[in-house]
Parts: sequence; structure tokens; C-alpha cells
Amino acid sequence: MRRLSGSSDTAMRLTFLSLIVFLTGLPGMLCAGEPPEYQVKSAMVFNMLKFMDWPAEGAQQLQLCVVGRGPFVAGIATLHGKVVKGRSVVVQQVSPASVGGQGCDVLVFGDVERSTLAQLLEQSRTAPVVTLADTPGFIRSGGVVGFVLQAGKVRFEINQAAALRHRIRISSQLLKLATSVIE
Amino acid sequence: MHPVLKKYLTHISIRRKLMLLIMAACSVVLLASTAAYLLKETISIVRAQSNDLKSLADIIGKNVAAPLTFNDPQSAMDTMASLKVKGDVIAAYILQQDTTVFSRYLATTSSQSNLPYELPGADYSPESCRRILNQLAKQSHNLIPVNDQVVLVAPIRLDDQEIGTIVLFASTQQLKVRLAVTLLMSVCILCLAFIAAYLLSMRLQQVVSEPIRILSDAMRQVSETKDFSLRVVRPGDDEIGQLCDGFNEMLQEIEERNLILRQRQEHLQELAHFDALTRLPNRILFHDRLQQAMNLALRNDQLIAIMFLDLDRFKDINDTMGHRIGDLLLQQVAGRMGLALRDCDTVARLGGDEFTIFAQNVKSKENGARLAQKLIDMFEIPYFIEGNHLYVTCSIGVTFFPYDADTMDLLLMNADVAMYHAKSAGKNTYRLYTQDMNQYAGDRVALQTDLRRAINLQQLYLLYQPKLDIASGKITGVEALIRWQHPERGLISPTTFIPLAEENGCIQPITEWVLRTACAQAKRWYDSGLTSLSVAVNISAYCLKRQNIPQVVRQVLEEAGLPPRLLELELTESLLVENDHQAEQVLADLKQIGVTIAIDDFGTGYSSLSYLHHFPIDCLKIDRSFVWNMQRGESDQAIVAAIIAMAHSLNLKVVAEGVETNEHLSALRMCGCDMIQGYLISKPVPADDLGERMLVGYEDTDI
Repeated sequence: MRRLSGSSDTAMRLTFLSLIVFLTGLPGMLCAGEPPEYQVKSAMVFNMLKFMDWPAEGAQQLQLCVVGRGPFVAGIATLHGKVVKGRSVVVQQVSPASVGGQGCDVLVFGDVERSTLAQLLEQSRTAPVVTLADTPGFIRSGGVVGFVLQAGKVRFEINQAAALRHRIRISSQLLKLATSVIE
Repeated sequence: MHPVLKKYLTHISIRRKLMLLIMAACSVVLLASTAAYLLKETISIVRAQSNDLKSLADIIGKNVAAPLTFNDPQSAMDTMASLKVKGDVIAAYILQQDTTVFSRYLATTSSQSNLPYELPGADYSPESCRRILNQLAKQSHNLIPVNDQVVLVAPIRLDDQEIGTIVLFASTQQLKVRLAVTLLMSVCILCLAFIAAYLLSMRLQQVVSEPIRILSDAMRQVSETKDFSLRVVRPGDDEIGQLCDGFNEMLQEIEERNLILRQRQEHLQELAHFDALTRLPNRILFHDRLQQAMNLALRNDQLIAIMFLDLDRFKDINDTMGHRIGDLLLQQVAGRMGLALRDCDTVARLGGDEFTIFAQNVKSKENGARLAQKLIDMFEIPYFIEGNHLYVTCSIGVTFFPYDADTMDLLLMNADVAMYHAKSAGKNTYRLYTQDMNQYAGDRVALQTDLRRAINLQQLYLLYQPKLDIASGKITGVEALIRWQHPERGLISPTTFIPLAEENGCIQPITEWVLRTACAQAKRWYDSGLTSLSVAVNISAYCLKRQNIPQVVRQVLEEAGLPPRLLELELTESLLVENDHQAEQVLADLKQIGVTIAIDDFGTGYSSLSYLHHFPIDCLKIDRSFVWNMQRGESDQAIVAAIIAMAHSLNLKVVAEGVETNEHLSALRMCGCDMIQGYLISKPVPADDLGERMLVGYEDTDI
């Protein structure tokens, strides 16, 4: 078991390294040496999932649903197949209309109309789902995690009240790192 | 074991040894347990710190997982700021996956010289960071501190993935303080335990050593004071108790043996200084006391009377009644002498029937003479021994210190000489020593020497005194009488030399010589026609006891060829003692040979008349004293008449001795006496003279 997990650790590390090499190797993209913003964000999404607990953790898969398009969700697809807390991440593009029936654990919003977003947030108001978006004021409109740019760095803010409503437990460590938290 | 230590151990007291033993045992146990305790404590303290650090690393790792993931060093630093409350943490580093330092915490108080990340050369490049980490990882699980600090390197995990590393540096200062405190406490407890063990061992060892000490002290006391009556009190039932018992028993044994030894010594002392038979002082003690008395007398100008006392005819008593009676007599004599003398006088038995006496401070010679007479008078009362009344007399020689001599040897010799003078003077008397007695004393010793050679030198010869039968007027026998012609001193009387001969033992060859000579003479007479002439020979009681007289007589008669009836043996009256079976047997043997037996000097000795019929006797010879006294009074004549009548009634012949006058003869004839012997008939004459007389007859005598 240990050897297996160890080898999977190594494998993962190799993947990660190759990714970094690949990413840094991209010539003339944006700022030199820095990864593109969407990649940073998708990595942060992935890391964030590690500090969150869902009410029912029994499922083998973590359903990561992407709504809409845009630079934010562009890197999310790379998370497909990754493992978080023993659950393999399944990334799927969903239409706003079919969000409710997908059993999503995470809902990442791309470029979605404001009314659609509000509707979807309202729709999944009490569902055990974490909602993410990089639209400004996302958490004030009921989203759980919203990405913001602060001094050129990607940060995030958290609506703890929304998380509680969604019955998602967010690690205090994560809360500490958030630029702002809505209690 | 080291020889010095061994020597020391063998020389110290048991008390010390026991204490050493107990203390050594205690020390081993205490030190071992203390060492074990300290080791365990040290390990547990080190482990505790190590565990402490591990859990600390765990907590911090968990808390910095998010800042690390989201690359927020500041947040990580905030988290690590809480380490401030942990005094022993010097520094903490959060390393990223590529081992570069992500965040760090430094305790304000700590010196940074031992922290590899803070060294001047540290540049935080990934290479140097990796190198440092590898180095630290080696130290991490080492419990032994390096440079007073321990290092813990632990991975930071998130969701089963290693996302970084935490490195903790902790000071061992507190650990050392804790160890020191533990050590100090242990030492204190150890010391207290030692003191307690010492006090306890002092008490405990007494249980063993005290009884031994008591025993040892007792032994020393016994050996110093030689007091074997000492005993030790038994302390208990253990081996020491048994030892005490053994010791006591040994002392008991020694005490008893000592007592016996002392008694034996006293007994030996007595044996050495006292005569076993009479309990009187012996020669040694007498000499000792006399010497002291002489010294005292010289100083005080006093006179000492020294006496030599000898019982008269004691030999006869010994010979006839046995040595046992003789010994009992000596004891009674000794007892009586003790009563007769003063306390300051000493009487000793020199041996045999000889006693020596000295009386201190007698004032005058007359007093000495009086004392001697007193002793002689003491013998007047007969001694009563086992149904026999024994009449004993004594002769005493007296000499005076310092008049007669000044040395003890001379004095005793003088007394001895004086005593012999008393004997010569007829016994039952005393003589005071005079200078001219010395001549005689020399004689006695010389005479004894001469007597031994007298037989071979033919100085002895026999005279014969005839016996006349009153009725027939014929000479029927002769008595052989011995004479000694000494070449220088002339004729010596048998009354002088026979006692000497008995004293030195040459009486036996003399008796044999007399028997042989007399028988040879009788045979000559027999051959010349005198066929009925008998020869009488005197046999002393001494010889009869010691010599096989019947054997000698038989042999002599055979040699001479003389008919036994012609030999008459004259024996002394003292033989006729009741129950003397030996004498009875000897007489019976002689009678069987056929010789005639006469009792000589009858009437002077013991009252043995009643036993006459026990013995095969043929003849009685009445002592001359009776014959001589016959004319003085009627009573003596009556006695002689009675003896003769009695003898006749027992079919015995009677010979009267010492008949010198015709009056004697007529008186004896009237009494019915058978034969006479004496100067009236003839004095003792040589055989040749007698032969002629015999042939011519005795017609000239007035019978």
C-alpha cells in the first residue's frame, strides 16, 4: 500500500514538475517566468479543495462542474483526473439549465450572465456545493469563494456564511489566508 | 583479590568486616539502582523532548500547510510565532518542496552560531538548502544532542502529499537542567540511603559481632587471669550460641582437669615429702625441716635433740607375722609417736623400722634424754593388732646440735651410731652420743664388708656345747655355736655379727655353712662310734622365712651321709604364731626328713604356748633367764616346773640352758627336766676337745 501510494506520490510529483517545466517553457507568454493567471487560479482551486469538507464524503469522485466559458475556467479542465482526499476530480462542462441534475460538488462559474448566476446561486442555495468565480462581488452575491487580484497577485475571499449554508466546512487555515471573509 | 586488600581484610575486626560486607552489598544495590534510574530517567527525558518536538512539528506542519500551499510566508510566520511560548525551541524552518526556506522562526534569546541556515555563508540557494537538509536529516533521529541542541526534521503533509519540510532546532539546556536536577536528587537520595545503610549496618552487625566480641573478651580474660571458672552467657540458639556452649564446656573441662591436676600435684607433693605407709614426713622433708631448725637454732642459740629410733626385733615380727602386721604396727607406732611429741618436733620414717626425730629448743641434754625415755616408755603398752598383742621395744640414739656436730649428715650418723650402742647395750634403751662412739660406727660398716668374705677366708668356725641327759648322765647331743675370728679385732660374738649378717643378707650362706660343717662333724663322730650324738644348729627366723630350709637340710644331710635323727634344728619361739601356715608347712617338711626340732629361748617371746601342739616339735629349750631366776623366787621355779610339766604332757623333751651351778641342776632335776646345757657341763669348745672329753666321759662332773 505504502509503496503504491509512494509511487503514486512520485508520479504525481513528476507530473507536477513536468507541468511546471512545460508552463515555464512556454515562450513569450504574458510576463516572463510567471505562469498565466488562469493556471494560477486553477491550481489554487485545486489546492482549496484540500481545505474543504463536504457533508457526505462517501463518493469516489468529486464532481467539478464548470458553467460558462472564459479565462478563469480555461485551466480547470487540467484538474480532471487529479485526486483530492482520495476522490478523483471529474471536470465536466454543464449548461446553466442542467446544473441542478448533475450532483455537482464544486461549481465553477466562468463568464455567466449576472442574472443567470444569481439564479444558479439561488437554485443551489442549500445544496452541498462549493461555488467559485472570479467575478468581482461574487461572494456578496451568495458565492462561496471569489478570486480577486490584489497588488498583482491572485488572492481569494470567502463567504463563510454561504459555506455554512451549503454545509461545507472550510479549514480555518484557508480562512486565515482569505483577503476577506463574510461571516 | 589484591594482596594488600586481602591483608587488610584479614586484619580488621569482625565488626568492621561485617560492616564492610553490609555496606558493600548496599553500595552495589544502591549504585546499580541509581544508575538504572538515572539511565531510564535520562532516556525518558530525552524521549519526552523528542516527542514534544515531534508533536510540535506535527502541529506546526498542519498549521502551515495552507500558507505553504498558497505561498503565504507571512501567515506561516504568524503561525510559528506561537513557538515563543516553547522556551527550548531555538529555531524553526519551513522548507518548500524544493528544500528552499519558505519561512523561519528564530527565538530571540538563542545564539544563531549553531544554526546552519543562519551561518554567514548560507545563501538559501536550492543546492545549499538541500545540502543542509540532508545533513540535518541525519541528525534528526539522533537522541544525542550536538552543540547543545537537537534537530528534528519532519515532512509537512497535506492530503497525503508531502508539500514541504519542517526543521526544528531545540536547545538541550532545559533538558540538561532537568537531568542535573534528577542527578542531584538521586545523589541526595543515594547519600541518605548510604547513611541509613550505615546506621542500619551498625545495628545489624552488632547482632553478629557483639556475641563474638563478648566471647572473645571472655577468652582474653580467661587467658590473662587463668580463671577457668568464668562462663559466658549464651546469646541465642544460633552457631554463636553453640560456640558459647562449646566454650563453656571446654572451660568446664579445663577447670575439672585443673582441679584433678592440682589434686595430683598435691598428692605427688605428699608422696615426695611423706611416707606412704605412716603419713610421717620422709627423709627429704625431714632433712629440709631439720636444716631450717638448725638455722633457727644457730640464730637463737638453741639446742636441738636429734634421735634415731629403731624398733627391736621388728624383723622377727615381720618374718613371723607377715609384712602386713608389720606395716600395721609401724602405723600404730607412728601414731603413738605423734602423741608423745610436741607440735614443733618432727618425726620422720626413713624406711623399714627406722624413725628419726628432732626436737627443737630442748634447753638441756637432760631434757633430750628425758624425751628419749618418754618414747621408750611409750612402747610399754602392747600394741593390739588383729587380735594379737604385740610387745615391741625400741632403741634410741640421741645426739645434739650444735654440740655434737654442725652438719646434718654428721648429726644423723651420730644418732645412728648412738642407737646401735643402745642396741648393743641390750636394747629397749637409749644412748646419748659421745665422741668415742665413732670408732664403733666405723666398725659396723667395716664388719659387714669383712663378714661377706669371712666364709671364704675361713674366719668362721664352730664351737660345740654339750647337752647332758640328767637321767643317764650321758652326753646325748651338742649345740653348734658359730664364732668369728676376725684377723684384726679378734673373736666377735654372734650377737654382734648375726644381726649384721641379717642386715646385708649373708646370713643365708652362713646358715648353709653352719649346717654343712656341723653335719660333717656329726658324721665324723658317728663314724668314730658316737652313734647317738646329735648336733643342734640354730636357724634364725629370718632364714626360715626366706630360704628353702627343708631343701637345704635334705641336701646337706645327703652330702654328709648323716642320719637325719642326729640333726636337731633350734628355732626361735616367735615362729609359733597362730595361722602361720608357711611355718607350719616348713616344720612339717623338716619333720618328714626326720630331723629333730627344738624351740630355742623358750619363755622370752610371745605367749604362744597354746599353739605348741599345732607344730611337730620335739624339744623345748628353757631360756637361761628362767634358770638363773629360779633361785631368786618361788614363782620362777613354779613357772619352770609348769613349762616342764606342760611340755611333758605334750610329749616334748625339755632342755634347760645356762645351767652353771649344782643348785641349778638339783632344782631342775626336781622339776623333772630332761637335759641340761651350760657351763656346769662345759662351755662351748672345739670339736676336737669335745671328742676327747666325750671318750673319757663326764665322770669328773658332780652329777
